[in-house]
Amino acid sequence: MFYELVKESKEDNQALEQIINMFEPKLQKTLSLTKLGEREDLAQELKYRLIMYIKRYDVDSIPGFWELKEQIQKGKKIC
Amino acid sequence: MNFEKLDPFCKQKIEEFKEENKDFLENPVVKSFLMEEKNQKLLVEVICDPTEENQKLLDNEFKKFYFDIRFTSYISMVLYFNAINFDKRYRKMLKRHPLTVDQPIKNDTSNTSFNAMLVDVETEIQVEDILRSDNIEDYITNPVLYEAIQSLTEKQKEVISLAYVKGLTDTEISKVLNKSQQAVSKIHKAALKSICKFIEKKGGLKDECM
Repeated sequence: MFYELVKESKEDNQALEQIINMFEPKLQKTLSLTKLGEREDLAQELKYRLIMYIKRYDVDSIPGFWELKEQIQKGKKIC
Repeated sequence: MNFEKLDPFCKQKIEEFKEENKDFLENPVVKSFLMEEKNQKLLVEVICDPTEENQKLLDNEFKKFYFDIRFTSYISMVLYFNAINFDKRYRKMLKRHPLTVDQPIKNDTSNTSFNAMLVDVETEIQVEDILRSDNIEDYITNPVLYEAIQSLTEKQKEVISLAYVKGLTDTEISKVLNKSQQAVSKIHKAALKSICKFIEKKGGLKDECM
């Protein structure tokens, strides 16, 4: 579900928003790491960071089925 | 896996593939990927009919699957560590700029707190001020003026004393006596006028009082 969204989010801000909304529950949970009064600030900061990290994320770095197979077999040989 | 419907040739190939790639199939990601029947079918198809198209199909499906896992865990980590860093930064700032005035300024070494360093100019105490008499009558040497001052009311004497012994302004006097500045101003003026009149009566001045 994220694969296409993240790809689109490089240009499409709506896709970006959708991704951030999907992580909202996790974000809310993370807020408990700071004081009550700082939570709104933290939420804003985290959303800003999320945008940065999502935009920077290299979608094509993910190995395919066959690539992973080769990697694992190579790793076995090294060991 | 359920291979009942497949032809024997295909079955054999699958067994071979399984044997060849034991480690790979044991990989948790691959394992959970193949838990889904849809993906199993794709793999079987690729093994039995290894066309480029089928390979690509499987590859894409796997990429999507793997991407979800990697991306979700990546973002979760980003959130977690950024939140921790934020909290750290916040605490550091709080330590450097404490909001309370009664906490030690430096860590432990000295017990001076910020409120001990505050100076209220209004309450500054000077020994001279205490020793010096507040009453203006003690400073007058001219007998006529002395009499004039003695003829004033208590309130007027008080204001005149504060104004000319301590050198306060009307506004400051009003704060000391807990009156409005206007009232003090009035008393002050009236006092000066009555002194002037008194001197005039004694023949010291002629028609110069307002």
